[in-house]
Amino acid sequence: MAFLSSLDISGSALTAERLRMDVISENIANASTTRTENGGPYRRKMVVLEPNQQSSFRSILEKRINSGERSLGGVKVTQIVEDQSELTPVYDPSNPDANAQGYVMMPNVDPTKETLDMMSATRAYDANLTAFNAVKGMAAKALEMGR
Amino acid sequence: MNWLDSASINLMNKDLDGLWTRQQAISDNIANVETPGYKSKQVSFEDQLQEQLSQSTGNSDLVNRLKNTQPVTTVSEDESLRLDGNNVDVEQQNVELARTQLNYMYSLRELSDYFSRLKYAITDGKS
Repeated sequence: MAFLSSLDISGSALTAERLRMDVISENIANASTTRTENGGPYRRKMVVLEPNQQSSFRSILEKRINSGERSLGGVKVTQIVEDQSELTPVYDPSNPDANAQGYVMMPNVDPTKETLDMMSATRAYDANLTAFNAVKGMAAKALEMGR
Repeated sequence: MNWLDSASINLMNKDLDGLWTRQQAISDNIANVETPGYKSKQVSFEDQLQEQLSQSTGNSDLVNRLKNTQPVTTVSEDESLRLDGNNVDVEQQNVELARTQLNYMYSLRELSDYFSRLKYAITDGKS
C-alpha cells in the first residue's frame, strides 16, 4: 500500500542515520584504544550508504501492476568499513603497547572530523524526520476525506 | 452528468496521485542525502494534465484522457557541486516537500467539499 511504503522510505533513512551516529559514537569512544580483538590499535569505522533497490516479491509485483519504473525504496547501510589511513605514532615509552623505540600507534580517529560527521548525521536525521511527519500529516488528512 | 465519474473528480484524483508520487520521490531524495553518487528525482504531472485539458474534445473524452495520465519520474542530470557526486539540495527538497504537502491538503479539501455538496443535494439540503 502506498501510504505505508512512503513511510518506509523515511524510516529507512532514520535507521541508517542512527546507525551512522552509533558508528561515530564508537569512533569517539575508542579514540585512544590501542588494543583490539584483531590486534593493533582501533581503526576508524565508516558506514557505506546505498540507495535501497527493493527486490522483494511485493515490490516487484507492485512495479508490474503500476507498470512504472519505480525504485523508490529509501536508503540502506550496506557495510561498515575500516578507515585504512595512517595511524598516528605518539611517543610514550611507559605505555604497555609501546614498540621498541617507545612509540605507541594511536587510532586514526580525528575528533574534529567525527564531530563534523555527527553534525551532518544529526541534520540528515532532522530532515528525514520532517519528511516523515509531512507524509504522516498528508496520510492523516486523506483519511478525513468526505467527512 | 455522471456525478461520481466527472472530469473534475478525475482531475482531483490525478492531482492527488501525482502529489503523492512527488512526495515519495522527495522522501527518497532526502533519505539519500548522504549517499555517494545518488542523483535526485523529480516528478512532473501538472504539465501532462494541462496538456490533456487543452487537447480534449469533449467531456467523456477528457475523462478517458485523464484516466490514462500517469505521473512521470525523471532523474536529474544536474552536475553536482559536492565531491561525492550527490546532487540533492536538502533546502530545495524541504521547500518542495512543504509545497507538495500544502497542495495535497488543498486538493483534499476541494475533493471533500465536492462530496459535501453531493451529500447536501442527496439529503435534500437537510444535512
